[in-house]
Amino acid sequence: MMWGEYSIGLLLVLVSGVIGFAALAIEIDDLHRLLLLDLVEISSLGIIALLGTDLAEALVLPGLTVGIAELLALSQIYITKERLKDKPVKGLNIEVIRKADAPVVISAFLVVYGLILSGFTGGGVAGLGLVFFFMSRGYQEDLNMLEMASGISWAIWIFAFFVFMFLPQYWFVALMCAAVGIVLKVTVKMSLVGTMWGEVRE
Amino acid sequence: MIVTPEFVAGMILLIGGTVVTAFPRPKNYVTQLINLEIPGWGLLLVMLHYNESLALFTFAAVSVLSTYIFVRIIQKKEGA
Amino acid sequence: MSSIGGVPFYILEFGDELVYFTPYTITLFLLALVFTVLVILSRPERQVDIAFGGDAYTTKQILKDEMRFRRFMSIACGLASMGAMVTGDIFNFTLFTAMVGITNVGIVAAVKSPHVQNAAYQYGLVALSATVPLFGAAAVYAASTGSLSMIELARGTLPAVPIIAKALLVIGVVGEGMAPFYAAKAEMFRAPGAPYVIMCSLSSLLIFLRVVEVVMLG
Repeated sequence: MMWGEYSIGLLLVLVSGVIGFAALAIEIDDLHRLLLLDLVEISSLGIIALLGTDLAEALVLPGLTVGIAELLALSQIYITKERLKDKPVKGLNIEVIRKADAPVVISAFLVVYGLILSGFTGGGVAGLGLVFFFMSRGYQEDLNMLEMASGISWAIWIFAFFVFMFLPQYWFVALMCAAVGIVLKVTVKMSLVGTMWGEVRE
Repeated sequence: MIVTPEFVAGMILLIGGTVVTAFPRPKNYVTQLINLEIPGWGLLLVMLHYNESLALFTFAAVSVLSTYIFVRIIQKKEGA
Repeated sequence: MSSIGGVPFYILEFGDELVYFTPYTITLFLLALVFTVLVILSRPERQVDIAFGGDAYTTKQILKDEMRFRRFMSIACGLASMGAMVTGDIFNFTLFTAMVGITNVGIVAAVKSPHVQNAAYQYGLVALSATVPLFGAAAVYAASTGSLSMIELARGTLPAVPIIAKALLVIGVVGEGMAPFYAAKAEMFRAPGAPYVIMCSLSSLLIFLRVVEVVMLG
């Protein structure tokens, strides 16, 4: 074969991207289109990851962030468009989830994993853990204070970036501030997404 | 050209998973969502072949997150 | 370095990502800046419906918190286009373009009319599937030349960028928002509340102008 590993890999990923786009073109239903959009996102990440260098790793992370941001934005519009916002969703009525210890363990694992990953995606995972915890125990909270906390932590994150640029000798403090700030912000946002979409417990 | 088993398996899963997700049988939302995991696994194997560990962890986490969002939307759409 | 935009006046370094100001990029940057300041300072206009055959007209009211959210989205869109105008890194450019796409969806998303929301959803689908060729182009740039910096590419010492990467970059920008190319973006303009809606059109125009310069660099 005259082609190396990179060329074959690139060819296969591009073919899969073309298949995804073809299916997207034929599709009519909107929710199916949203799922196919996630599929072509995987193709784009594949093209970046095939580079194989450290640069590729650094480029995959913003690509993932863009993917999640678009998914959140489009899903909100879909729910508003189809007028599903006030539709009650039956909460989980399974006794094992309500009373046992397993959901606590899973949520704790997700929160710790998210904190270690940190950044936008880490905050998302930590938020997911919190949402799972709230869903399993059936809390319905008032969330205005949390929104204010998330706004302040985002300002801390931006401030940490300015410290990076202009006062690089204090980089460690800035790193800790940035990590804590962004994780707090995204965690709270994710929890809001979960609980504010409305749940009816019966 | 160093072709390891995980690269070949990853590529096969990526292509096969894309075909199966693009044209799911039976055609409902849950089937397509479950099939969406298959090319995801293929991508994880490719990242493993290139030792991109940070990208791997983050992609796994983001996959969990997006699956949760999709499940919420499908729950809302298909009623109680 | 002298590119088609002229000799750069100043190159600002954020680590190894360079922000460079040539006469061309400064012009585009100032345009985006002026328009963003206008968006901050102005109040939304009310969309006028004229009764056919007479002089009567009705105006659509815009609620206060809807206006705040849309103004925030317009400012974010303006900031993203300002960033895209002066950046010196190909991957930064693609990220800013994706951000412009998302904020464009956000600008019209708060409007309650179902027609506008449907158009915004369809536009969002196309704009966000256009991030695939954008990222693909950045990856092929990095794979074929080993560098993502526009200043390095303009110097001419690196291997030539294959034409497919430039084509993918242009396709990505066209898919994100060139208005003549698809109708959903034009349908979004039926949303009441200029000047926020005009930011959609201006940002994609500026990004298209910049991508022409980027593609002719390497």
